[in-house]
Amino acid sequence: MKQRLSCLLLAGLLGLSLSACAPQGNADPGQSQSAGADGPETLTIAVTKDENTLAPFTYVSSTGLTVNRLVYDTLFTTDTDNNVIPWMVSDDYQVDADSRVYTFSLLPGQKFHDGTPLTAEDVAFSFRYCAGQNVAQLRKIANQIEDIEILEGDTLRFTLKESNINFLRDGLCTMRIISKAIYENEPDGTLVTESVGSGMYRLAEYKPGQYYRLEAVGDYFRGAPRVRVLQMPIIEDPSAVQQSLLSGELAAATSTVGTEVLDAFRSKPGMTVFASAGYSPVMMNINCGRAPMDQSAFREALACAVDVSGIMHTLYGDYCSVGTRGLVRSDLPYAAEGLDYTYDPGRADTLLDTLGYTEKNAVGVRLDESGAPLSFEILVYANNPLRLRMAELISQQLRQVGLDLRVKAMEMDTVDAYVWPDFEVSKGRDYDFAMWGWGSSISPDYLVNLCAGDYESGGDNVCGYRSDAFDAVVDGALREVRNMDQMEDVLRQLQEIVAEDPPLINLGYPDSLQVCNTALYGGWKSMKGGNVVNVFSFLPE
Amino acid sequence: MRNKLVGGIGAGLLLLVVLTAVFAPVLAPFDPSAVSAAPLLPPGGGHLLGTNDIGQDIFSELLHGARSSLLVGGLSAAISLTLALAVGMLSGWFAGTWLDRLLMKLTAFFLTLPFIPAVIVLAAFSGAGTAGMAVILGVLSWPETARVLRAQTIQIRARDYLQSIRAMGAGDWYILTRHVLRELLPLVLYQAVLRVKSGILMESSMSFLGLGTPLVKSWGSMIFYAQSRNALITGAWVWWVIPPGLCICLVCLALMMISYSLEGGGEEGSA
Amino acid sequence: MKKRALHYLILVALVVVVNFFIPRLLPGSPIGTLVGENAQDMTAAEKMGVLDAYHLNDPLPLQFAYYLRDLFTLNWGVSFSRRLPITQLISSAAGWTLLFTCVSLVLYTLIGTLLGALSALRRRRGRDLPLVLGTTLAGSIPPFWIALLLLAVFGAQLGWLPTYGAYSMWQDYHGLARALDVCRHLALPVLAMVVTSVLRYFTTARYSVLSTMCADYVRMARLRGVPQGRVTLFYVLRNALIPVFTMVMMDVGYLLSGSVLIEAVFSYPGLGTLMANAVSARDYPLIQYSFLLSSLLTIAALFLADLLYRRVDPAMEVDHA
Repeated sequence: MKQRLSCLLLAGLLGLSLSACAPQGNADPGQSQSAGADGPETLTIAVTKDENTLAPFTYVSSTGLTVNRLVYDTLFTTDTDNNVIPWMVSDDYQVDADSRVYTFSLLPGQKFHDGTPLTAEDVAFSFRYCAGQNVAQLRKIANQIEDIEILEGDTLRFTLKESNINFLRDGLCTMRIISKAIYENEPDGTLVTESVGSGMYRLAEYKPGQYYRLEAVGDYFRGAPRVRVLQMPIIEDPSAVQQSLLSGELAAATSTVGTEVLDAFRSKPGMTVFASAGYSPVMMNINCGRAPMDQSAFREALACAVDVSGIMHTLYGDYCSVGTRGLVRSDLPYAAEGLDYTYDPGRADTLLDTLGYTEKNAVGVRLDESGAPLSFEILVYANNPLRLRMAELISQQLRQVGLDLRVKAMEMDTVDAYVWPDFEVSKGRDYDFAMWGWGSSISPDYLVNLCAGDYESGGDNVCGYRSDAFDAVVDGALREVRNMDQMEDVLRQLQEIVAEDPPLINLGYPDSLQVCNTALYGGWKSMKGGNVVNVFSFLPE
Repeated sequence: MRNKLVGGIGAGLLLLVVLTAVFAPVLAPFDPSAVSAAPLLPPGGGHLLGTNDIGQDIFSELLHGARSSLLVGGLSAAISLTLALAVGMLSGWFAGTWLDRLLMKLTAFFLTLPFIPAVIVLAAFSGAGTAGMAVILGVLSWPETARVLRAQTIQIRARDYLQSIRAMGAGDWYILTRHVLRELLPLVLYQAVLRVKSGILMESSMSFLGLGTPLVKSWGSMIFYAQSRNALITGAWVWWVIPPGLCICLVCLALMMISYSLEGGGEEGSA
Repeated sequence: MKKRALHYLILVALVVVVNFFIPRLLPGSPIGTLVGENAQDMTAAEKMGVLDAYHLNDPLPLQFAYYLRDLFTLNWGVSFSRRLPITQLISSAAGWTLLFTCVSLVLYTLIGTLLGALSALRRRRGRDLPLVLGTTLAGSIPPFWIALLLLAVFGAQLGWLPTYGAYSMWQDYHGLARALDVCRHLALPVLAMVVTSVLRYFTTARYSVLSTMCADYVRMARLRGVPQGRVTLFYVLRNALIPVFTMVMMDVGYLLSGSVLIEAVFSYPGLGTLMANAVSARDYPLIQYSFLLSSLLTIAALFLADLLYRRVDPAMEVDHA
C-alpha cells in the first residue's frame, strides 16, 4: 500500500515535469471583455516592484516612474518616437535664444483627482516644493530654476540660473505636477499618504505589497482613457510574470522578457512582442585610477581584446544595439560615425608587449614590472545572470591575451559600495573592473556626466576617468553652446576623444522586449526607449 | 543481506559520481567553459545535451559540475556536521550541567542570526568565493542539527547498557566516541543527506536571493542559469535542468541508501 | 527556573544589540533608498543633510540610544523604502506569513513524521525502501524549481489554482467564500513548502523510532507481554517524538521568517519577501525591527521548548551531576 504511495509520488512528480512542457490548452483569459465602444473594461497588468503610493516622492525605481506617469501628468512628455512634445501646455510655448527662459500656458480643463482645478499656482508650487525634498532627480530639476513667474491667466515663465538646452527633456518631461493644497502644509513629501495627481488614471486603491487599482479619469482633458480600470498586481518574480502572461491571466507587465522566450510567446495567438530600442547601456567599468589600468594604452588593449559585438549577439541575438567607442548609442542624432569596436586580439597583444608586459608565468598570464601576474577581479551583481555571463565571456577573451580576470559575484549593494561608495564619485572607488549599467543614456548630458574629470559635471564618473582633452572641451566649447547644432558638434568631439582614450568598454544596448496580450486589448503602443505601459497606450485616438 | 545490497548500490552510485568527478577532464567532450557552439542549441550534433545560453556544452558542464558540487556539498556538510556533532553530543551527554547550558545558549544565539543579512556580511568579509560560501553555509546551518543530535543523545544516554558501562568506570570520552557516536551514526548520515543537498543547491538558491556566486561549473549553477533563462518555457529544461537535477537526486539517494544500510533497527527481529 | 529565565533575558539583550549592528554592518548605505534612483543628482552636502535628518551621521552610541528609545516606546517610525509606519507593514505581512507558515508547519510535520514512523515500523519487514527513496527523491528537488513547476502546471496551464497573491484581489468575497478563496491561494505555496520540508521530519522521525524500537525498555515491555500495538503507540512513538518535537519548536521559532523563495514565486505578501527587500534597500529601521521580532520569536520558542522538555521527556530529569 505504502509502496504504491511512494511510486505514485514519483510518478506524480514525473508527470508534473512532463506536463510543464506539454502544449498549452486554451487558457481562460478570465478577464472581463465587456468593453465600451473602444477598449475592454479592465486589464490586468503586473507591476514588478512595490512602488509605494506612486507619488513623486515615494516611488523607488524606474518601474514606479513608469506607472506613476499614468497618475501624474508632466508639462511636456516624450512621444512614442522619443521626441519632446507639449502635454499639459499649449503648442505655442516659447524658449528664448539662450535656452534660459521658458514660457508656456496651461491647456484648459485640467483637474486633480480630488476635483479641484489645476492652476498655474500648482505648477509653480510643484517645482518650488521639490527643491526641498529628498528625491534627488526632482530636486536637481528644481534647483536649476531661478524664478517662476505666473503671468496673466494660466501662463508661466520659468527662468533658469544657467542656460540649459536640455531643460525641456530632462526637466519639464520629468517633473510631476502635484496639488498645492495637499502638499503645502507637509514639509516632508514622503509622509503624504494620499496620491492625488492630474493624470489620466486615478489611484483608486493601493494595498502595500499586493496591488494597485487605477481607475480612468472620465473627464480627462485629453479624452477619457480607453480602458476603464487597470488592475495591477505586484509580482516580483520574472518567471511567475511570464507564466501568467502565457496563460492570459495578465495582459501585460512592466517588465521585459528575455530573447529566449520570444518564440514561445509568438506562437501563442493573441500575444504580441513589442521590441523597442533600449537606451540602457551595459558596460564594463575600468577603474582608470588604478595601475595598470591608468595607462591609456592598457585600456586600449582591453578594448581590442574584448569581442563586444560577439558577446552582445551571443546573449541577445539580434535584439540589441552593439556599443561603440563613442559611448553614445549609434542611432542618436549626435552619434559620431565610424567608432565601432574592432575585435583584434593581435593588436591587444602588441600593445601589451609594448607596455612591457612580455614575460608570462606558467599558465600564460603576463607579469608586471615586479613579476606579479596581471590578475584582476571583475565585480558583478549576483542577481544578474546576463551580466555574469558577459563577465564570464570577457574573462575568457582576456585570457587569450594573457590577462587573468576572475569574476566575483556579490550582492548588489555590496558591489555598489565598492564601485560607487555613497553614490558620490568624489569618494573614490575600490575595484579593478565591474559590470555596470545605467538606466538611460538618452540625455545629451550622459557623456559628460560619465566622463568629466571634474566631479561637479561628472557625477556618474564611476571609472575615475580623467582626460585633459575631454575636460578642456567640457570647460570650453560646451559652455558656449546655445543651440542644438552646436551641442551636437561638441558631443561629436567628445566622442572622438573617448574613442581614442577609452574610459570603459561600452558593450551595448539590449532592446526592450515586452509581451502584450493583443487579444485582450489592441491599443498597446510601444515607446522608443520606454515601456508599453505608457499614456499613449490608453489615450483615445 | 538486504542491507548490504542496498548499501552496496548506494556506495556504488556514489563511487560512480566520484569517479566522474575525478575523470571529468578525460570524459568531457569539450572544455566546459569554452564557447563551443551557438547558444541554446537542443541536443544533437556532438552536443549530447545541447548547449547553454552562451554556447558551452551542457554535457561537459555536467561532468565537470560533479567536482565542485561534491566539493561544495561535502565541505559545507562536513563543517556543519562536525560543529553539530561536537556541540550536540557534548551538550546532550552533559545535559543539565553548565556546559550544556552554555552550548545551548550559543546554539540559540546562532539560531537567532538572520540568514540573508548574515550571508551578506560574511560574504563581504570573506571575499565571496565558492569555498567561502560553503563555509558560510556550514557555519550558519549547524545549530538545527546540533539540537536534534542533543535530543537524541539524551535518549541514548538513558539506555541501560550505557549506564552499566559507565558504572564500570568507562570515561565520558570513551563512551561518547565508541558508543554514542555509533548509535547516532545513521541520524548523522541522514542529516548529511540534507546538508549535502543544500550545499549542492547553494549556488542556485543563493543566486536566486541575489547573494550567491554561480560562477564555477556546478549542478547548482547550471540549474540557476537554466531557470533564469526560462528553460521551463522554452522546453530546454528537459536537457538543461533534469540532468543536473537527477545528478543531485542521485547523490542524495546514494547517501540515503548508505545510511539505510547502516541503521541498526532492521536486524532485530527480522525473522 | 528564575535562573533559566535570566539566561534567556541575557540572550534577548544580546539579540537587541546584534540587531542594531546587523544593518550597519552591511556594505552600502541607505542613501540610495532615501533619495531615489538618481542619487548622483544630489551634491555631497545635500546627501549629508538627508542622512542627518535620519540621525545616520550621529556617532553609533547616540544612534544606539535612539534605537533603544524607539524600541521601548514602540515608536518604530517609518520605513525608508516603503514610506509606511513599520508597525503597519510588519503587522499586515506577519498575518499572511503566519497563516502560510503555520499551515505548512502542521502539514509537513505531520506528513513527515507519520511517513518516517511508518517507514521505521515497516523496516523489520524490509518493505520501507520505496518510501525512503521516494521521500528522498522528492526532498532533493530544488525549492524554487518545485515552486515554479507547481505554478506553471496548476496555476498557469491547468488554471486550477491562482498564481499570485494571498486572496482574489479583484473580488470582494465574504465569510465562507472568502475563507475558501484564501485556501485556494494558499494551496500551491503550502504544497511547495511541504514537498521541500518533508524529508527533514521523515529522517528524524524514522531514526528515532528505529532507535527507540531496540531500546531496552521497549524490549522489556515486549518481553513482559505488552501487546504489540500498545508497545508501538505508548513506548516507541512517545519517546521517538522528542527529537521531532525539538525540530518543531525550532520551526516555530522561524514562523515569522517565512520563505523568501516561495513567497516570491507566488507573490505572497509575507514577511519573507518584505525582509529580503528591506535588506537590499538597506532600510535600517525595517531591517532592525522585523529581524528583531523574528529573533525574539525564536528565543521564545526555544524557551518554551526548554520548559516543555521536562514534561515530555522523563530522560531530561536524569541529572548528570
